[in-house]
Amino acid sequence: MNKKEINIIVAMKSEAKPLINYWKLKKINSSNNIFINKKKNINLIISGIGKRKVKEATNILGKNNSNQFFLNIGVAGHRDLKLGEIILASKITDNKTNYNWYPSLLWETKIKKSSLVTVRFPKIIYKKNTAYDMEASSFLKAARDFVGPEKVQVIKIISDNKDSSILKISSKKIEYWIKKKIVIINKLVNEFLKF
Amino acid sequence: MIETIYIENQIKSHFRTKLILARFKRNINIVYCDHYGEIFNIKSQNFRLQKKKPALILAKKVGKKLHSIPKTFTIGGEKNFYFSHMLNCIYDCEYCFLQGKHMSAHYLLFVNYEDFALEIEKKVRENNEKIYFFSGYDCDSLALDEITGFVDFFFPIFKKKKNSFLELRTKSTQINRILKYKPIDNCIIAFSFTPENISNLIENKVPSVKKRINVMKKLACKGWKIGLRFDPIIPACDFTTIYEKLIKEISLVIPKENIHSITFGMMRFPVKMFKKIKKESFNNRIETIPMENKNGICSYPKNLENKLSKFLFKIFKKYLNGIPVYNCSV
Repeated sequence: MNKKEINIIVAMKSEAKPLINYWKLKKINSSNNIFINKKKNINLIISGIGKRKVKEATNILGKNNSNQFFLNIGVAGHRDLKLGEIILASKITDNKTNYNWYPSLLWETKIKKSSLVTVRFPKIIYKKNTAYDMEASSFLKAARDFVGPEKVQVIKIISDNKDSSILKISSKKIEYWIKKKIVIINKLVNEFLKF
Repeated sequence: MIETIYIENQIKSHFRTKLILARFKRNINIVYCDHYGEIFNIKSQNFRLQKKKPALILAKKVGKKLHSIPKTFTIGGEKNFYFSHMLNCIYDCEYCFLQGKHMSAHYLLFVNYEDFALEIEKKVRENNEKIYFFSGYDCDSLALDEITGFVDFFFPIFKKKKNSFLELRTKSTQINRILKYKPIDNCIIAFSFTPENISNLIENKVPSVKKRINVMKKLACKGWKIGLRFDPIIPACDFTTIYEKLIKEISLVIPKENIHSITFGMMRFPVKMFKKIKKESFNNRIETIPMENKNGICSYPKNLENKLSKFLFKIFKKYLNGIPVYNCSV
């Protein structure tokens, strides 16, 4: 049996920083953007923003191991949810292809579930009652080449909404929001590692 | 415990969808989809992981709703069809073919019962002979009845169609909705059994044999026709003792006049399905059962099958003499 491990893909340094600190992840020598904690079986990669970069990063962490788990953590916009609120994506739609992914919701967690639409450019006007990001569909597509829908999940923290536009986001705010939700994220990660 | 319900967009306003959602008291994650196949049929799903917390998928069944049944799978009729308003089961029996049949362990429920009824009625109209309809091949028709409302919809249909029969096959003890009705002679409530020690070992989440016998007794006392189903027969080492004990126990509490029929069958799977079942198995117990490939179907070796069948016919004659017995052989 292969060892259980979790591969975390984040787009920005500000999203990664609180996670690296919390899980005491160490940068690996051969790369500038990969951080690991062997004891906790956590690997994290900072991909950069956009679908292509996320796809590449997911493929870098992915191995021929059915026991691995993939998690995308990042920020997203939502018309109605409060800034800093956390969601677990129940349906991810690629805005360009209209293709849908449905990560299985098998986990014990109090995190609210929401649909998520991946767009090419940041959303200024939020049409539907759904979250918007710029990476998840590409992450799903790449990660599903390695494992089934139960082992690919997406967590987003709301960074902008109808009252606070994307222009008001700062790295400090992102770090703060993720840091505030780190305990609940950690609980979910532990759930994943139980299986 | 169902926590997530996927709903096809085309039936989100269907009255039965609303009725089903109203039956969930607690907060449920509702996720809309274009077609159930987006969730149910996708590749590389982990059946075992999903079985820990299956979701419910509400969808519309399109295409053929009635399927022919092989001639040997009969309970006395020449024309036999099965229909499946639902795919997958709340129980987790280690021998169950559903593990090898579907990509997913989620419960897929088709809410357009009326379309099933139209096809049943058409089939009845087109035939003068008795027709038997079977429900419970791809799911347990009674186990989720509190949510699906299967009994309340289908029983009244068959009550009016005296020349057709409905067999509802189950391992459930949820008979309250059935008991609301007066017995319907052409509705057979068929209970599946393996001996108690086998059931305890490999029929996970299934009500105990004792509880199932008790509800059969209740139904029989009210005048319902009971079917006894021993399918699959499990060739345990103390096979003769445990099967005789079970059949004797049933014969002592269920009046013969209430038993419509007995069927039994060996474990049998198409080769590909059996491979998947072995792959999904969490303890490899199924691999200890002697199976051989007979023209693409994996089942017990012929001499074992003959030995088991011979013994069963003898025991049925001893304890339940006079009741029709059918061997679902392949």
